[in-house]
Amino acid sequence: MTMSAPANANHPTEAWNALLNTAVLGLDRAGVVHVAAKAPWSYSSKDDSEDPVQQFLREVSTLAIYELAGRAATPAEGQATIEAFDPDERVCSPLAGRLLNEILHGDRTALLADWCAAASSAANTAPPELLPPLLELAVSNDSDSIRNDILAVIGHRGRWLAAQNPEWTPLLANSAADPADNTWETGALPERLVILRRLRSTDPAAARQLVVAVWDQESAADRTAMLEQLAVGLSTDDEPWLDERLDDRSKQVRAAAAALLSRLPTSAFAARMTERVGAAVRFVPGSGLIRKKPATLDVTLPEKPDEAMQRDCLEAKAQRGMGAKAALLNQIVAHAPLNSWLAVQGDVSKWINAALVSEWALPLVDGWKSAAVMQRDSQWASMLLTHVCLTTAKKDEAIDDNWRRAAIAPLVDALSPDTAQAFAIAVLANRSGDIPLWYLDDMLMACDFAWGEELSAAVVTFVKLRLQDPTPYDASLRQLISRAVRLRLAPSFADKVTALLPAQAEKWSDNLISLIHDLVDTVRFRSELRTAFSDQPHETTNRLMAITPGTGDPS
Amino acid sequence: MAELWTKERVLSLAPDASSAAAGRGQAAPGKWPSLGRAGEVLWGECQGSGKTPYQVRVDLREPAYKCSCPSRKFPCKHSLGLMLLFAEHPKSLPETALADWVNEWLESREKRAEQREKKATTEAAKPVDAAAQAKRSAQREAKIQAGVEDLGRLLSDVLRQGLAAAQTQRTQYWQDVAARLVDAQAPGLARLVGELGQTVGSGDQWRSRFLRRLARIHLAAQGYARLADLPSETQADLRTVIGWTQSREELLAVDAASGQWLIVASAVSTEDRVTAQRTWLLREQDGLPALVLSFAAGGQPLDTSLMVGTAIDAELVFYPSATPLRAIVKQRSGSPLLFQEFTGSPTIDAALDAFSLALANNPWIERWPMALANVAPIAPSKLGVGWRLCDSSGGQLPLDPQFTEAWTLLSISGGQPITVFGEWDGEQLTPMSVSARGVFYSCSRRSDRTLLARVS
Repeated sequence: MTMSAPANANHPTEAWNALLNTAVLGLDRAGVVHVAAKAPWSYSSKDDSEDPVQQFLREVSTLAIYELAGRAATPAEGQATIEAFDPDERVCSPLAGRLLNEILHGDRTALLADWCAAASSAANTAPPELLPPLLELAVSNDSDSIRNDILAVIGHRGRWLAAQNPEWTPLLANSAADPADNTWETGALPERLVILRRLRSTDPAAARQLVVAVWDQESAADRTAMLEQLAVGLSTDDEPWLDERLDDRSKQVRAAAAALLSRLPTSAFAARMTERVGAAVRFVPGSGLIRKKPATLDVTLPEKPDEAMQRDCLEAKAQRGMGAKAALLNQIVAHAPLNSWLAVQGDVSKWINAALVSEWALPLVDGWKSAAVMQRDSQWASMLLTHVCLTTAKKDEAIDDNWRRAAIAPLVDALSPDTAQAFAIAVLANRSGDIPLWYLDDMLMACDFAWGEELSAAVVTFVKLRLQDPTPYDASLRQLISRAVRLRLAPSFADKVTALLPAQAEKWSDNLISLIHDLVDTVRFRSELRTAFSDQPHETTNRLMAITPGTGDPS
Repeated sequence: MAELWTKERVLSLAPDASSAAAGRGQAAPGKWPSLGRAGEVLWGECQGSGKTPYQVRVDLREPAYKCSCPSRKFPCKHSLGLMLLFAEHPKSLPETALADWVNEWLESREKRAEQREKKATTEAAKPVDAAAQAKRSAQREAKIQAGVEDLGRLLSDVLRQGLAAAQTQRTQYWQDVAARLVDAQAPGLARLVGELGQTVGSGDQWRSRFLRRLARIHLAAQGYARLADLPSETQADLRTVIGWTQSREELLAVDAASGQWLIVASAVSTEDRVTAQRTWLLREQDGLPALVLSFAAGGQPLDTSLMVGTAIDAELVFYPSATPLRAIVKQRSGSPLLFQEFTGSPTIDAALDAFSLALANNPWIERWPMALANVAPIAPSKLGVGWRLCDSSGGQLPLDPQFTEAWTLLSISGGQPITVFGEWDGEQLTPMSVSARGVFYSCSRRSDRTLLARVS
């Protein structure tokens, strides 16, 4: 029942492993171990009659401590990397760093873009301790804009760090340009679309070539998704290939190609649509001097779309409350260049008003809306907003309230920020009582850019008015404040929004109070963010020192 | 002082993110019908939702807070708001004579401190009922003795049957043993046994860790059996391991170590519904470490008077031990000052030597403070090798794989030497604070994760 001592019983690690094996088996089964009495950790008991288990326990206890105390630093397995950072690189002020910390860890990610914009315009980088969460956010986010925002503020240190973490390294590479990377060939669709979109923004022709190369082996759904990405950097160079896509076997693909072609006003497709508009709709000016007869529209449509029409994705099939013929008209209008209408009659409002009194109101107005959104035409979009969306529907009108409200967001979005701003200011200033307030909320929600002083002032007045209501709480106002006002109001209005809180808020619900508190807090936060980059002292990356032997001081 | 009380520092005192936000909401002069300041004592009346305003008092010298609001948050949003006002608009708090209700508070705090001191001296001088005390002690000793014998038999059984058999025991088995030790008035041993039970089957190489822990318990049980023969410091260490506590009053009578102490790190852990806060201090002149513990149960606030990143001029009293670490603050003077840098051992080997020496005197050390100068973190380069710190002579030390902020540590370092403070458990280091290029960073809890963030 005696186990022989291991060969090198006086080496603590070997001895420990031997004891451990015995302990795992159990002393009853393993037999009693003769311990190495001369080992440096042993203190021998004179008492041979001592319980062998006790002897074993004592050996384990002293060896455990001996072994723990004898540990030395493991010799180098790899060298610490020393990297020279650009000495001109400026880390942001401590205050700006604290604000970024609050954005990343304090549930304020909606303000990340603001921080990055302010930092890059001041040529500042994020502080070192916040680079890991930023890189983490950049890789886990599909949005190109967030990724680019973050890459603009990580500086050389961030790039150095990303190069060491395999999960972050892809951020540094332009995947499509890297021949070693085969994500384009083998990746999942979302990854491939990201690659396509990125390349499209730098080299549209090369991106199109990527699609052309794989076109025949992709499913209709994937082809459609890829085609849609060509909206980025779309130009007449794309026209010949897009026009061929109108012969695709999939209807989905043909429709996507038609949508893109309609955005190229000089394309043959646009010319065909212009011709069809001319044939289908005639403007009949109003007449009569005393009892004025309004202008009307004379609509002539073919019984059936001809072959050329069918190739251009036009079909006579009833849909969305429109009969077959109306739907055909709607598609022609939606795909025709909006300029083509003005050659006949230069005043957009006359076209709209004439359409509203005609029996073709819905196909025409809805078609114009689609065209304005697709072609991002500010003039038509603002006219449709003024004359259709933000006027009250008359009874029995073909364009109902639902349509009016739903069209607000896409149409405002089609406006350039400056136009949208001026438009919103004018609407708030001249608003009449019969337009539902939530229409205006929708309009402001769609103004997705930083609001200037004038619009901010108008919005604060508008919100203040709403809050004077004895029960000032509705879902639309809440959304407006939490999703738009809070994030877009000019930061200089921090004090003015504080004044929105009444002296006595007893009548207000807790929800409303916390909503306004959050509004005040966020605007104040954004105002701090602005000052954090202006007058704070900056920290430059300090002098470098070598840590491992053999690496000299690079500075 | 103005440099110390920045907005960021005030907000870092908030017990949670929602308190910080609420505190910001209170920091508008309009909300305060009255405000005042006398040196570093701030006060004000804050209009809440009720009729009478809340009376808010802050003593920045510690800092200490008192507010008449019913909030259980500590410090409450009003105290935070008052400090924020001071940080952002110091002129809104005019220097005046103390308001009566502020004076009352200061006096009551002083009185309490005096009482503590008096109690300590009288306790020490009091001719205690030696007989009764000896009897109580003897009763407990007997209980512990029985518990320790019971435990000894258990350890023998475990080894006889083998660790393979131990793995088949239900976790309840270890909990029952621990509960018996609590009944035997040996809560310290009970905790060790509980941890032993948790080691079973806990990942790679659990058997080796299990055997180490078992060895440590055996040493305690053996040592306790011949307690009287051991040096008095070792007796104290053993009594701590077993679970005897020493009263604060007894300690105040012991000689104090005075100097400028850097409050270098703090961590909070929860065990059995009791929250424990470990705060590490390093004496500026010689790097002498000290550990101040604070316990709180049932949602009570923890001590907030030791702010990480500040240095205090204080007298500390160490609990008797062969390796004195645990201490209490006996007295402090002046206000806390910010620091950015602390010093550490020049090489990893030197730090390990200090640990070995300590272990020789006290084999029950669980967490050893380690300050390392001129080290750089190294990312895992291949399978099986984790994060490490490397010193200038090429020596390396493994980091705890549970440490989640290793990438942040690497980013702060940028491959250049930094100074790191952390807890060494004999096998792995858990970094807690960093000083790099004149900036001090420390780990703290934020919502449900630990973040290594800039302090000063």
